[in-house]
Amino acid sequence: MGSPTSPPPDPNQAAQEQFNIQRNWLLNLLPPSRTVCPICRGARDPDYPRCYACNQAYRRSGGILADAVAPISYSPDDGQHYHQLRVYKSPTSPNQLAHFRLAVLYTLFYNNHRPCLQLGAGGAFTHVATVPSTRARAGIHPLQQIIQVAHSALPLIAATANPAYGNAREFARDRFHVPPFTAGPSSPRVLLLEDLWVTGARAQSMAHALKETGAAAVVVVALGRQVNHGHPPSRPLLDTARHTPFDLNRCAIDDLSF
Amino acid sequence: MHTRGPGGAGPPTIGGMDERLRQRAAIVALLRLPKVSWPEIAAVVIERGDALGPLAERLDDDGALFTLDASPEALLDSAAADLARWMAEGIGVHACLDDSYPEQLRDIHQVPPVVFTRGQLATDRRAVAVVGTRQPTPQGISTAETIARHLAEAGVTVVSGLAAGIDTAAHTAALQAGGRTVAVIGTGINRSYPAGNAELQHRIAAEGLVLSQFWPDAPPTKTSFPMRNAVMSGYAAATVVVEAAYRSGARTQARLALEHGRPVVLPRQLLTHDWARDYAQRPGVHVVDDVDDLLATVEGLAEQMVPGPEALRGLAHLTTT
Repeated sequence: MGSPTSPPPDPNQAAQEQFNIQRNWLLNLLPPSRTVCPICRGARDPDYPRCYACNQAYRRSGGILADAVAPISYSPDDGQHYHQLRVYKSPTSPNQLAHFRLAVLYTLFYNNHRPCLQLGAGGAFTHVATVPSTRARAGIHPLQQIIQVAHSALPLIAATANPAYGNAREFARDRFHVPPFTAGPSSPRVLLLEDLWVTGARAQSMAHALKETGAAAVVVVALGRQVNHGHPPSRPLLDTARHTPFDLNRCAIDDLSF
Repeated sequence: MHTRGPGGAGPPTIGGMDERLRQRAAIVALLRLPKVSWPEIAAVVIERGDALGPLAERLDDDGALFTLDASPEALLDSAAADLARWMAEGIGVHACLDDSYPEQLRDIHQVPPVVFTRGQLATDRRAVAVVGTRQPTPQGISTAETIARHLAEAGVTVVSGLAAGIDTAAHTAALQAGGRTVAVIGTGINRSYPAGNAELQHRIAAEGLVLSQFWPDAPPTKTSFPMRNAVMSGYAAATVVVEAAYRSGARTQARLALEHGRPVVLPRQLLTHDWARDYAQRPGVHVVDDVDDLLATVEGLAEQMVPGPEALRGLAHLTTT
């Protein structure tokens, strides 16, 4: 709309508006508790120290995993955040509104939480990475676009997926191949961006591969932590999360002590 | 206004179906399977950019093949025959992977896998939904007419639901002003509800667009109207609520619009209702004092509707390093 003489929209204002409107569905993570997994903040059985998937990754990896995991918001599988996390990456009909909103969410989250994310990594980040996609696509993945826009000065790690694993939701040490760190700092610290954390198997397999290749630290930021809204143990978690309006200043890492 | 023709790819040639038709047929075939969630079908198809893979996987997964007693090719042929029949009836059929599909519907989590249309498609980026009660006061009718007329005169598409009351007033005023109006209906495209609006539906199909997310002969049901409100919210850049009580489709639409991140515009006089005062506190809700205020607000909202790639790159300077 608007006449040809009207000034172009202010990008900061557009970003702020597209962040604000997402507060209608974003949900802060709950702190770790008897029923909330200390790693991924999903529901857990109080008899185990972590949820099933995080426990499996822990055992199979020998504990060599991400140093910290920071999901930005729960993402119930019947909601708008979950929908956006799927359609933004369509190879045929990428949804630009969803892509922009997710980029805004990540950028503002990073700006607010850089000190605590760095604390999780033991220093400033030297590299950025995303979890390689198992499906072939033409051109740069929209998640890589988000991380490159936000961190244009940091090199993006070009890892590849081992095709033997397909889309399985299981941790594996050799699931991803990470090229050697060359001519960089002696202790690479990697910021690993994941779109949707379902079991964390892919993100943790990638964190493991990064560390085996020489990363000193890996911190995962996930745009959404998927929650199955029909899963009985997850319902109280969602009910509690919905009590509080979304606050960008709360971060999963703040709840942990290093 | 950028317009697009009806979304046909010509009559199907079974066996030699072209790729786009195969994809569209696969989406219809998926929807014909037992126990499927329509929005889930749409989301997985859009996410993958492919319906044939999901169709094959679903048939493998639950052994549906055995209960359906049909091969994927037979299901595709049957769906292609449905598509050919609908198109022969003059119905536009647009599946969520088609270029002719209204792209703004892919924004919302109740994205319909396929929509059926009669009339002229357009991008309708500048479209505002005007909704309200089926039992309006004379004042409500007058407000709806004024809003719709001003929107139409400003070249904004007036979207509504073809219900009695406010919807009818909004559609009619937009047509009278020579503007474009789109009816998102709660029945199949071959039906009219209420029956008294059949003629208005016909006129909108001739001069604007009628759109339905249901099978063409589907009757209205208790759930079809709120489902229609979700799609109406998705189609429009913003929703204006004119007169709506606590229990009303219009209030449902305001809630859904906020769930989608679509702005909601409330006239100040609506704040006599508790629900409207509560909504006014939420992000994305704009309270307006008069028609000028409303038009100015709506102009600004349609402007920010679709951020392009340059907007994404523009975020670079937001990052503090």
